Amino acid sequence: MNKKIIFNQEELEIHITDKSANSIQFELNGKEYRFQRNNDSTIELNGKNHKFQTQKFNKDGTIQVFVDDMEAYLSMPGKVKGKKGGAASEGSLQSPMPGKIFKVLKEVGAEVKKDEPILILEAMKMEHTIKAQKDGVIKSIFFNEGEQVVGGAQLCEIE
Amino acid sequence: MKIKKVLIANRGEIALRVISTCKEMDISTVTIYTEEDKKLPHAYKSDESYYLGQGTLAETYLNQEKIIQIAKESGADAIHPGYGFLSENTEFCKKVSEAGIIFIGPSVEAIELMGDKKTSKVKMEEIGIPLIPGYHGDNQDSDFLLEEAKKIGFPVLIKATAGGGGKGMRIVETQAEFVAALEGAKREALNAFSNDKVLLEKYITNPRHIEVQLCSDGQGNHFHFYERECSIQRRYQKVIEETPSVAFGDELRAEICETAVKIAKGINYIGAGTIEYILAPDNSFYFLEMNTRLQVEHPVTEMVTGHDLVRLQILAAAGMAFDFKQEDIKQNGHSIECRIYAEDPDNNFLPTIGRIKHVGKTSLQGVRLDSGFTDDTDVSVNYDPMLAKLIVYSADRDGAIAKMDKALNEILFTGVKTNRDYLKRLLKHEKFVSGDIHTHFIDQYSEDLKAAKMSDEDKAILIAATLFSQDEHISLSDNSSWGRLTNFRNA
Repeated sequence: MNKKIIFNQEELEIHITDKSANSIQFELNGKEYRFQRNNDSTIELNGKNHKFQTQKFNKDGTIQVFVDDMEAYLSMPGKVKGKKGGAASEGSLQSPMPGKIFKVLKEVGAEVKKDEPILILEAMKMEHTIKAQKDGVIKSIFFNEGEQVVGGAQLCEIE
Repeated sequence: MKIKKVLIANRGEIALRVISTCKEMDISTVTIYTEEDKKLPHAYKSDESYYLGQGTLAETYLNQEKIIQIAKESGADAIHPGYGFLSENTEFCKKVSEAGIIFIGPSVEAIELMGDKKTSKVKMEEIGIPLIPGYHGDNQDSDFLLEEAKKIGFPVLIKATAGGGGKGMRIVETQAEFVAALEGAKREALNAFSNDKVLLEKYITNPRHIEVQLCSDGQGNHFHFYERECSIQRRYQKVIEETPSVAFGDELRAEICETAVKIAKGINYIGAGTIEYILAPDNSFYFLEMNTRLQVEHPVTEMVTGHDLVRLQILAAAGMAFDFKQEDIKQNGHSIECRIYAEDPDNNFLPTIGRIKHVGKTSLQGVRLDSGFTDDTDVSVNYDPMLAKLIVYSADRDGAIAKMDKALNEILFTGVKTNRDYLKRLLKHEKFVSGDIHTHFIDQYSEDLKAAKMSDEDKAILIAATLFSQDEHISLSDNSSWGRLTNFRNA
């Protein structure tokens, strides 16, 4: 089974060749790795233990992972999409950076033309206008005025 | 006059810091909090806490009338301003005194004098404190300025008086280049600020930022608590601070610290304060400014001297004398502080926000974590992005660096992106390890300080850890116990 992974900003693909509750074997860039999970915080590779900790990071399904002294941010688009109905897809608008929703200019159901402003995001003491990237009808707006958003959060959806 | 109850006019880690000392001294504490800060520990770790409602900073933590009113109603006999916010606000300081409440800090006159760049420099000249040589006058004639530049000695910095952001600024290495550079700077300044007036200053290559901790008691006795080196900065924000400074020999230390005490005496100072200096590679040093409050980085001084600076602030404000002499204050071992920020160093240091899921713990000895956040608290865009100060103590600098690296691995703030990994890169940089640091360090070595490329094996390990736990994250969010059972294991 092939699996796409966004590793920090890089897109990687692994080929999973074996998987059970406490072991997993996959290929990355032509090399095969077999891992054993020894307990909730330890995995083993080639007879060497690594301490790990993971944390669900934000609404779009990114996982923050710490192993030994390393740290990374991973998301698996395929899996999340099937379950939750959407990592950012065409027709959705994402916040370019963390901030606060300063103003919601349109309502759900409103027709919008490409480049029409929908939301104003306030970040780092500046205003950023979030514009429609295509013509359509606003299907949903996920935040209210005054709410905080993380960078990359899906703000609204246009159909 | 003993202080029995203190209102802390601040939030976050510094409010908790003051609470901790007050408890030791058997003083009751009063804190204030906003709607947004309801869940933060400063809102509930004090004996009493008052709600400021929702609103801008001016309506909440900077609302002088309201804060003084709360102090009166709660029966507080003193106000500790922490750092930032109202700590160097003379208007507030006056109002507090007029209300018959003790302001835990220096006198209004001292704050006023040192808070103004011009008056403080005039006073320093009067006391005989070295200032960066320069010309700040009105004569803008090229020949005259060249003569002034020669007096100052090259390299010289030409700076637009209206300037900022590097515009209208030139570093001139030799006399021959001066006039052309001056004309260039003036043209640029005229374009950018409609004002071509410039000033001249001695340019110091690779300066260090050194500061001396002072504390004067309530009876006119002045003490120094040695230096801190804060050269690792970005955009004038300190990132790593330490004491002692590797640049110091005993002679220089004595000279710089005595100069600081001379300043405290010269302005009849009371309480804790910090003299900031620029230290040139040839060991000449110049007064930069004085901060008339407790500093963010005060813990490193506490670690090596064993003195509680907040306690001394309170004693001084109550008019009491300290029960020790200067020669009793010793500098033992080495301490380093790292500021953990909610920011993304690999994306232009943009601030990050989110919910802190978990704050890690460590079993290491000599490690102190000063943080205003706990598990399940939110980091908002409205305040400083500093999550915590991690402070370590060891017998020597190498030991302190090694301990800091370990502590950064153990004390994770999960759920938000922090500068943790970047701090580790800084600590490992060979020039940091050798102590060869200056205030442009972060800019100069920005390439070295980028995240190293990970090997495929490291990536695979991180992926495997994620895959093992991802099923759990998903089933947990599904909220179905059957989903969780698929991960059931008899290990």
